[in-house]
Amino acid sequence: MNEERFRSLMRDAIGDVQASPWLSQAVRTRIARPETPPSRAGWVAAIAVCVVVAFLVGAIAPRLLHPTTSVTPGAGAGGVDPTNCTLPVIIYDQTPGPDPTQPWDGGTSAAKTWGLLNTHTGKFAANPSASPVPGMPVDLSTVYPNPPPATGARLVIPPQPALAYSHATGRWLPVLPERVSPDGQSYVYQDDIYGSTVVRYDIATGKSVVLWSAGKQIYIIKWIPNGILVGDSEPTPRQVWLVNPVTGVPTVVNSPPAAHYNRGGDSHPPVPLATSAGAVGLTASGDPILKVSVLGKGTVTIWVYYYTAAGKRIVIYHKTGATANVSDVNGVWFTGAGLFDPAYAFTSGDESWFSTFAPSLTLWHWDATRGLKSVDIGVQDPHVLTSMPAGPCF
Amino acid sequence: MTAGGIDLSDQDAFALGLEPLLPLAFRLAYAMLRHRDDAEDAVQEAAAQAWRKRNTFRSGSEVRPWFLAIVANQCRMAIRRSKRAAPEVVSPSAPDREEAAMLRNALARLDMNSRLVIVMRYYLDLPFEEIARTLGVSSGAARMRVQRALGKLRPAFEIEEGSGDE
Repeated sequence: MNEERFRSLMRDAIGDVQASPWLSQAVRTRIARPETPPSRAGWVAAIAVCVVVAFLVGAIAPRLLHPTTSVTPGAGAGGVDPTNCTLPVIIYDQTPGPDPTQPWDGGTSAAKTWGLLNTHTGKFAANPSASPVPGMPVDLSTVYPNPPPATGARLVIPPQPALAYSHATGRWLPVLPERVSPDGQSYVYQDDIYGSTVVRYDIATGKSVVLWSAGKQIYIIKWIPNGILVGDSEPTPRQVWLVNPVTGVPTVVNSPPAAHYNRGGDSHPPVPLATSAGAVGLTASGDPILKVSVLGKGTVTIWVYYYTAAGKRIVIYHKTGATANVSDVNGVWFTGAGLFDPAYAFTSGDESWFSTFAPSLTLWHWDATRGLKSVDIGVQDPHVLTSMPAGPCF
Repeated sequence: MTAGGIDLSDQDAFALGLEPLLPLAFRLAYAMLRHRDDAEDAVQEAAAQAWRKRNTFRSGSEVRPWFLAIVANQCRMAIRRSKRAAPEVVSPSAPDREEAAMLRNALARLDMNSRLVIVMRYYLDLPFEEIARTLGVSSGAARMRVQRALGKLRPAFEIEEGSGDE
């Protein structure tokens, strides 16, 4: 449907509800209400909570989240040389360019190209038959038939676009790469419209196994080497479980990972044009990789980092550059000149691959030994939106 | 002291300055919280927060995205502590009822940040530049967030620019 139709539907779905006529007065009264200073007891309680959280993060979280090994981007890569391997990539491209007379649609009309990138030569081999993916299950919580089927009708889900590639099976998959098992043989999805289940799909056999029915809405964070991380709210889970990928038994890992997530955007005060923060991806062990951008006087500083399970901060990137104005059909926006401004990261083993917001076909690789290196894709196209890693390099 | 046309030194003047923003702020809060009382509470608390944090307002910036960011933050906190079992249900026009209900359910299942950007873009009709300022990110980042959020509504709600049909 077009944008105007969708806007109309949004109004129908949400309703055109107007504020009460007395809201202005209520706001005036609320602003005038004297602030209550925190009590001594309140401070004591707050400090106690901080101590408990610090203890949990520092002492218990590693044991809960990493019961057998400490898996971080610095551990175990499978021996692949990132400068000479094959990386699955999805390119978002708006050729021949957006219509300048129309509002930008957020890239939904962008053409996507699925293919494999040789990181040594930069040669990109497109695979026109990669997507859509027929015959593989996807999340029913995000797939709705339109128009809706008659009551009792069987739900027929059309083939979904490919989002990840499994080298182990040589198949493009209709789920995000975070849903794919580390060995590439299976992936997890949710088979109910409420998003309350975790189901494993084995690619070779084509069979699904219900691992866990949580009885409430959950979301799958990432399939990590120790199991499947599942949270109860996104992006900051209040409750996190590690689901055994064979038995389906969930183990509560509780608040420590949430504490890690809280280091992201939601915990920052709303200071527009000064600071922005949020996760751009997850490490191999499921900890968020965070990006913080700070706008100064004529400068932009970008931090990219993550915390290990032991609470140690690992800085992937930190640099300040002059504020740059980037013009496009929608006006002017700001970034730092020449700065690494990641949009998405996929990590497997000790290798992280980043896409950026910059309109280029450059991907970035990071590991603790080599640091951050760019890899150019040998395709020249001024209309490209971004290029996303779709799985581990092999 | 004034900033963005609002007097930051006087409570009454500050409240008066926020007044034109309240309808939009309420619509944002209502779209996020789906309950009138919760939405009005969020806007009131956001106004109080704005007054308390007025020294964080950057001279030369616009007030509206600054205030909407505070409202959005209040909504996030309200959602986290909410114990309401069911949101208010509106009655869309009959022909669109099923599709609107599907969209409403789909929105309810979205994570908060995805719902927020879709609401700002397609319910409040904010330009990307203002969404970016509200989120404190670049315009490109705002676009990417909208794109990803829309992706979570597919394929039932595939939006095609200029298609003019469904």
